[in-house]
Amino acid sequence: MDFPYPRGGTYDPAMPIPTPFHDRTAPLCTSLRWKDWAGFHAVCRYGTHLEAEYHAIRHSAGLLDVSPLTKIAVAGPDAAAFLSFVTSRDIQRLRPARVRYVAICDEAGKLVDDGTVMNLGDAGYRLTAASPIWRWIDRFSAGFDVSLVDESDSIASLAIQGPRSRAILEQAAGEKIPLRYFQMAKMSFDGIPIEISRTGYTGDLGYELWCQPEHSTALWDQLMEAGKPHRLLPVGLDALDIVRIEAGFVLQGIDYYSAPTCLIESRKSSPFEAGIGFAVDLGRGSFVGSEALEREKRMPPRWKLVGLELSLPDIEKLYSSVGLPPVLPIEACRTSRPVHRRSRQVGYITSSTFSPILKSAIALATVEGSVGEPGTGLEVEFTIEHVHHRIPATVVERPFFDPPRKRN
Amino acid sequence: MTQERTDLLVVGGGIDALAAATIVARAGRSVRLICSEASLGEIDASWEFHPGYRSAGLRCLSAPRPAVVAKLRLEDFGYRSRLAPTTEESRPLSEPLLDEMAPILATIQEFADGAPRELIDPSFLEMLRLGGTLHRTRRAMGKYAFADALRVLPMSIEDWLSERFDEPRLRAQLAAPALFGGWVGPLSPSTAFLWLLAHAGGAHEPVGGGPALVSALEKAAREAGVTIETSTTVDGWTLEQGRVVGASTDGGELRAKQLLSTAHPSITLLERLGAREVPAALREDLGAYRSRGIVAVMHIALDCPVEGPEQRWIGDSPLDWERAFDAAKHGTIPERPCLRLRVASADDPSIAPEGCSVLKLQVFAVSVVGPDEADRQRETLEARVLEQLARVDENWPGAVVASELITPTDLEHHHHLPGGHLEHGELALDQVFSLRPCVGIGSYRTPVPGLWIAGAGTHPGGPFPGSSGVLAAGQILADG
Amino acid sequence: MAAVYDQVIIGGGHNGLTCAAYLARAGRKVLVLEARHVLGGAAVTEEVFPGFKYSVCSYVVSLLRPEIIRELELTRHGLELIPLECSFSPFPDGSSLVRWPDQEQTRREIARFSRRDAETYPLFGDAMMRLARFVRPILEMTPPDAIDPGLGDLLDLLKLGRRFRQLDPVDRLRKIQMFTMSAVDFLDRWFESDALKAPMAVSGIIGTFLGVRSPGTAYVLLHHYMGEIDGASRSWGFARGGTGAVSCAIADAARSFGAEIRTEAPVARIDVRNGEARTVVLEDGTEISARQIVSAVDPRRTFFGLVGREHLDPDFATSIERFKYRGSSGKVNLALDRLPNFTSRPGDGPHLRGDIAIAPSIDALERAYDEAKYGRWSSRPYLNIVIPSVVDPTIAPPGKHVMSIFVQYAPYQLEGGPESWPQHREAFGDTVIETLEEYCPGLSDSILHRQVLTPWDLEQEFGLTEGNIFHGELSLEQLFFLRPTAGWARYKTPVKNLWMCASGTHPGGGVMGAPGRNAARALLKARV
Repeated sequence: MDFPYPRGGTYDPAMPIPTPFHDRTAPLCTSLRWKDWAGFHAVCRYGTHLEAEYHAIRHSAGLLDVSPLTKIAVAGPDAAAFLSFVTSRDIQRLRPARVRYVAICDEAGKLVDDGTVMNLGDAGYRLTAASPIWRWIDRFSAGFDVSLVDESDSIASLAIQGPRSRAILEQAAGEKIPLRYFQMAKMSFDGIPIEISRTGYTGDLGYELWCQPEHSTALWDQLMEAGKPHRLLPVGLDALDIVRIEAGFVLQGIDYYSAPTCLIESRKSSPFEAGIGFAVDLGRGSFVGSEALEREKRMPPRWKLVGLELSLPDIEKLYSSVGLPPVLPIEACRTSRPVHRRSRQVGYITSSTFSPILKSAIALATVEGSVGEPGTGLEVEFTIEHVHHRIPATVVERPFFDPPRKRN
Repeated sequence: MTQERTDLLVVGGGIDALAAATIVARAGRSVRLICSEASLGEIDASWEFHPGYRSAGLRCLSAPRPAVVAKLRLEDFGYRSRLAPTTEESRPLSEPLLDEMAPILATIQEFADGAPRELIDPSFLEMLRLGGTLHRTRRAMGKYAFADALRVLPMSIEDWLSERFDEPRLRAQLAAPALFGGWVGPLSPSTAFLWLLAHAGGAHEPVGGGPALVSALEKAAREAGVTIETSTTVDGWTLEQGRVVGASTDGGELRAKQLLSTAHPSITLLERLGAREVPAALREDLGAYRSRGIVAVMHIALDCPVEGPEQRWIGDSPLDWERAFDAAKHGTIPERPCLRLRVASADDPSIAPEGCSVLKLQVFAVSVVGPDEADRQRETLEARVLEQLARVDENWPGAVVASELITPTDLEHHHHLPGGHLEHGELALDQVFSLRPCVGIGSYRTPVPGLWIAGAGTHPGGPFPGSSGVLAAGQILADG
Repeated sequence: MAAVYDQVIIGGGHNGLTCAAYLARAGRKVLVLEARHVLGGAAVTEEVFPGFKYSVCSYVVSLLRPEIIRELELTRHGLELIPLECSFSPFPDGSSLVRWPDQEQTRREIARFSRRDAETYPLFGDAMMRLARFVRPILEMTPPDAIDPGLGDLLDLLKLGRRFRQLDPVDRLRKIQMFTMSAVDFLDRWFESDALKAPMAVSGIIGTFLGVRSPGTAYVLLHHYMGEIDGASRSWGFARGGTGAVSCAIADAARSFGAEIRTEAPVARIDVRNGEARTVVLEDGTEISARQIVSAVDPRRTFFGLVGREHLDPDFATSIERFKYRGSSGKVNLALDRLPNFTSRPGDGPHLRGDIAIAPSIDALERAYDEAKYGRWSSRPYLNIVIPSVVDPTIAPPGKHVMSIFVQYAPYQLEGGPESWPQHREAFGDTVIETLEEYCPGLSDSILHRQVLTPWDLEQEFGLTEGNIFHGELSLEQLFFLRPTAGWARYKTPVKNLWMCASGTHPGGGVMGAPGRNAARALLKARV
C-alpha cells in the first residue's frame, strides 16, 4: 500500500512535505519563515511584519492554509452513535449541515484531543482534530457498523476568517451564503465542489473550506481574486496564534497535553480542567470517559483554565524603572510561566500575547480551582532586563475578544 | 414463555462448570446448567468413535486437587484416583527432580488452591503474604536450592535437563510433559516452569480418566439439585441496563440472576457479548490472549490387545520434539510428529471390545490451518502418525480398525475452542494465576455485572481440573 | 613477597579499563594487563587493511553510561560520539522502512505499511521510556546476594518493590510481560505490520541464542530505549575513530589518574594459595603481586583458565560450568570501493547514516534461528550493518568506505564441532554477502577486502568464550543477582582477593562500562 501523497509525487524521505497549497503559498512567503505542522511545511508569517496579518483577520479578512489538520470520514448506519461514544458530545442530536465542537477523552476522562464533528448528511460525518487520532478512535469501533477513513491527506482545507470573509465568499460564489454559526453547506465555486463551514479558530466571523487537493490551486486563486477589493491577505500561523488566544481557544500540546502521550499523570487534564467542559454532554448514557467525567463534574474542580489580564501599568512601571520604554512584541508566547497568589504558586501560564485590538496583555493559564473565579487577583512572573519580577494579573472571562459578528 | 428466574445459570458442560454448579446449588441457590452437546463433559467426554470403541476424553487429566475432591465429596459419587502411569525408565529420574523442587511445587499448588492473588496491584498485606510465601519456600528448600530454583524457572526444560542428564532419549522422555500446555518446544525458555506447572497437578489421575471424573461430577451436581439441560445452544447473553440477566438459546431465553460461563474467555466476552459492552482495553487484552493450538488428538481402535506400558512418549530426542514444534510454528506438518501414547483401554477396558484396544494419541505439534488445507493436513498427519506408531510396534498399523483425528482446526470449529488450544489458552509465564486470561478479569468477575467466567482459560487452568469452578463458585457465593 | 600493586586487572577491555580508571581515581595503585597489542578487548579499532580502520567486534556504542563519560571526563580524553541517525530496513520486495528521529517522518514511513502502527509507534516509545526509567537505576546497583541477603540487600529489594509499585498498574503489567513474553508476542500487542515488528524484534535477540519468538526476549527491547532516557547525553552512536576510541579514552583517563597499563602481557594463571589469590603469573613467567586481582575476562576463563578447578568449591565450579555462553553471532568487515546501492533506496542518502537491519520478516528471523538450533549457520541470517565511514571520514581513505556487518545466527556449536569453523569461514562469509546482494546488487564488485569473524575466531582471537559477545548469554536466568551465579553476583568471588569486573557480571554486555564501574565501587567499599 502506498501512502497517499499530497502532491501525487513518488516517495521522498525529506520532511516536512508541502501542503496542496504550497505552489501558491511558497512564492508569497517572502520572509521564508516556515514551521513544521504535523509534518507539513506551514507558513509562520508571509512577510517579516506580523501586524498586517493580524489586522487582516480582525478588520478585513485573512486566508489560512489549514490542510495539515487531521480529517477522518465517519460513515455507516452507526456513525452518529459511534461519534457520540468516542467524543464528548451527543452527535445523534447533531442535525445535518451542522457542526459541533467536541472533546475526545480517554477512558479515564482525560483529554486526548479536541476538534469538530460535521454532519455531512448522507455522506456521514467528518471529524477534524489537531493530531492523528484515527487509531485512537478506531479502538472503540468494535460493535459499531461504521467505516473510518483518514482523509487528512486527501482533503485540502483553507480558512477564511475576518469581518469581510462573508462578502469575499459571496463574491467568489456569486450567491448569498446564508450560513449561520456552526452550520455548513456543500457548494460549488466556479465548478469546484467544496464544503464550507462557518467555523474557525479565530473567534471572529469566518469560514473553513474543504476541497479535493486537485482543486486547491484554483480555489486559492479564486478566493484571492475575489478578496482583492476586500484587502484579503494570506495569513500564517503566528497571527493565528494571537487571535486564538484572544478568542480563548486552547491548543493541544500547548495549553493541554494529549493523555496517551503523557509520560506522567500530572500532565493530563480533563475537559473541565482545560476549559472546554461546555463541550461535554453528560447524562446521555455511557461514552468513553463518561464515568470519570460524571464523577469529576460532581467535585469542585482541581484545576481550571482561565483567562488572565496582566496589568499593563505595572509592566510599564517596571520598564521605566530600568529606564526603558515598554516593549510588548505583537507575538504570541508559548513559554510556561508560574502564576502565584501571595507567596504560593497556584498555577502557570501556557499561552500569552499582547492583544493589539484590546490593547492589553492577556494569557491563558491553568490555575487551582479555588483561585479561578473572575476578578481574582494573582501575580505572574515577568522578566525584564534579565531580572525576575512579579506583576499583578486578574482572572477574567474568556473569550477576551468576542465580536457579535462571530455569531450573527 | 415466562420462566422463573434461577439464581445461577451455568453455561458449559465441562468439569469446571459442573463443579461450580454443584457448590452453588449446595448453598441453597437454584442452579441451571446448560450445554450445547448431547452429553456432559465437553472435550473430556467419552463418545463412540467407531462401533464398539469409545474415546476417553481428549485431555490427559491430572486428578483434581485434594481440596476440590473433598469440597465436592467426589469420592461419594464413585470418583477414584490412581498414580498416573509413567514410563518405567523416566520415573526414577524425574522423582529426584520433583523432590528437589517439592517446595516450589507446593507453592504453585498453594497458589492454585486459593483465589487468584493480586500480583499487579498488590496491597501491602498481599505483598507481605507474597513475601511470606517466598520465605517459607526458601526455608523449605534451603537457600542454595532456592536460589537455583529462581534460576531454573525461566530456563528451557532442555537446558535444565542437560545440566543433569547426558542421554538425549531420556531428556526427551522427561521433558515431554512440559510441552502439551503451552505453545513451546523443549528449547523455548520458560518450559522448565511449564514442566513444574504440569507436575504441580500431582502424580495422580482419575481412574477412568476425564469421562469418569465427569460422571462423578454429574452425579454430585444432580444430587445437589442442579437442573441440567443438554443440547441447548447459546447464542448470546441477554443484557438489561448493562447487566447480564440471562442467555438467549435455541430453546428460548433463560433468565438468571447470575451467569457463569466456562467457555473460552473470548467466546464468553467477545462472541456472546455485544462488542460495545466490553471496554476497549479489555477487548485488546483478550485479543492478545494467546491460544494457538499445538496438540491434535487421535483415537485409534486396534483389534488386538496392547502389551507394555500404559503411557509412552514417542520422540527420540529433545531435538525431535523441537523439530516437530518448528514445523507447527511455521504452519507445516512435522515429518515426525511426536506423541504421547496412552493405552486408554488399559485404564477403562469397557471402551473397547474384548481383546481389542483403544489408543489415545496426543500429537505434537499441529497448527491450525485454513479450511482448504484442513483435509490435506489431516491425511498427511494421519499417515505420519501411523508411521511413527509402526516404529513402536510394527504390528499396530495392521491392527487399526478405525481412527479419529481431531486437529486444532477441528477443536476450533467443532469444539468451541478459539485458536484450537486444548487448555483454553496457552500456559505461559504471563498467562497464569491472576494474569489468566488477562488482568482485570483474573478473579472470575467480569466488567459486566452478573457475568462470571471460569474454566481452563482462568486461574489456575487446565493442570488443576475443577479448581477454577470451585473457586469461582466461592466468589459468586461471597458476592451474595 | 610484598604486594607492589593495590589491584591488578586482567584484561584491557573497556570494562577492565573502566574499573582501573575508577580505582586509580580513588588513589589506588593499579596495573592493567592486556594480552593483545591493542587495548579495548572487543571494543577495539584496528587497521585491518591499510587505510581502513574497523571497529572489529563491537560496532556501535550503545549504552555507555553517561556518568562514566562525565566522571572519567572521557570527552577531555578524546571521546567523540556521533549519533546513529536512523534505522533503515530494506525488504526483499523492494519496499523499505526507515525510522527517523523526526516523529512525523517516521509516522509517514510506517503508515505505508500500517496506518494503525504509524500512530501507535510514538505511544510505544513513550511506554518503553517509562519502563526504561524503572530499569536504569538497576544497571547502576550492585545486585543483592540471593543466597544470604543481608539487611542492605533487603532494603535494596524493598526500594525496588516500592519503585515498582510507583509505576502505573498498566506499566507494572507490561514490565512483567517484558520479562516473560517473547519479543514477537509483546510487539504483537502493539503492532500489526511485520515490516515494523521484524526490525524491532531483532533488538531482543542480539547476542543470545534465542529466537524472536522465544519467551523472555521482550525485555531486551527496552535496551533500545535506554539511550533515550539518558537525555542529552544519550549515546547511541559511533565513536569517532571507531569503538576502540572509547577504550582509548578510558585508558587515557585511567593513565591520567596514575594507572599503569601493559599490553602484550598475557596472563598464564592466577596463583592461588590457601584459597587466596595472591599473584598473577604472566606467560613469560613474570610474577606480579597485588592486594586484589580483578578479572576482566569472562567467568569460565577466569575460574577454569586462570584459577583452576582445584581451587574451587565443587558446587561453585558446577554453577560456573552451567553458565551458558553459546555464541550465536559472527562479524563480517568489508572495505568498499564505493557506497552500497540499495534497490529500495538507491544512491547515497541519510538512510545510510544509521544502522541497517536486514530482518525481512518475523518468520524469516525465526527460520534463521531454527537453522542455528541444529548446528548450522542461518542460510539467510539477520544482519545489522553500519557504514561508519559515512559520518566519520577518519576511518577510510577518501571515497572509500568500511562496512561492518553483524551476523546472527552463527552458532558456536557447529554440526562438525566449533573447531570446524575455520574450514567454513569463507562459505559463511559468502552467505552473508549473498544475503546482502539480494538488497544491494553489485555489492560484491565493490568489495576491496573482506574480514570474516566466526564465533570460533572471536573465542580464539578475543578470548570470548564460545564466541559470546556478552561474556555469557543475556537470558533471564543469567541476569542481575544470577550473573554469573547466585551468591556471587556482587563482583567478589569465592576466591579471596579475586574480583570480577566485566560483562559476565551484572548488568552484562554491551559497550556500557557499568560492570567495571560497579565493580570498582564494590571493591572500594569492601573492607579488605
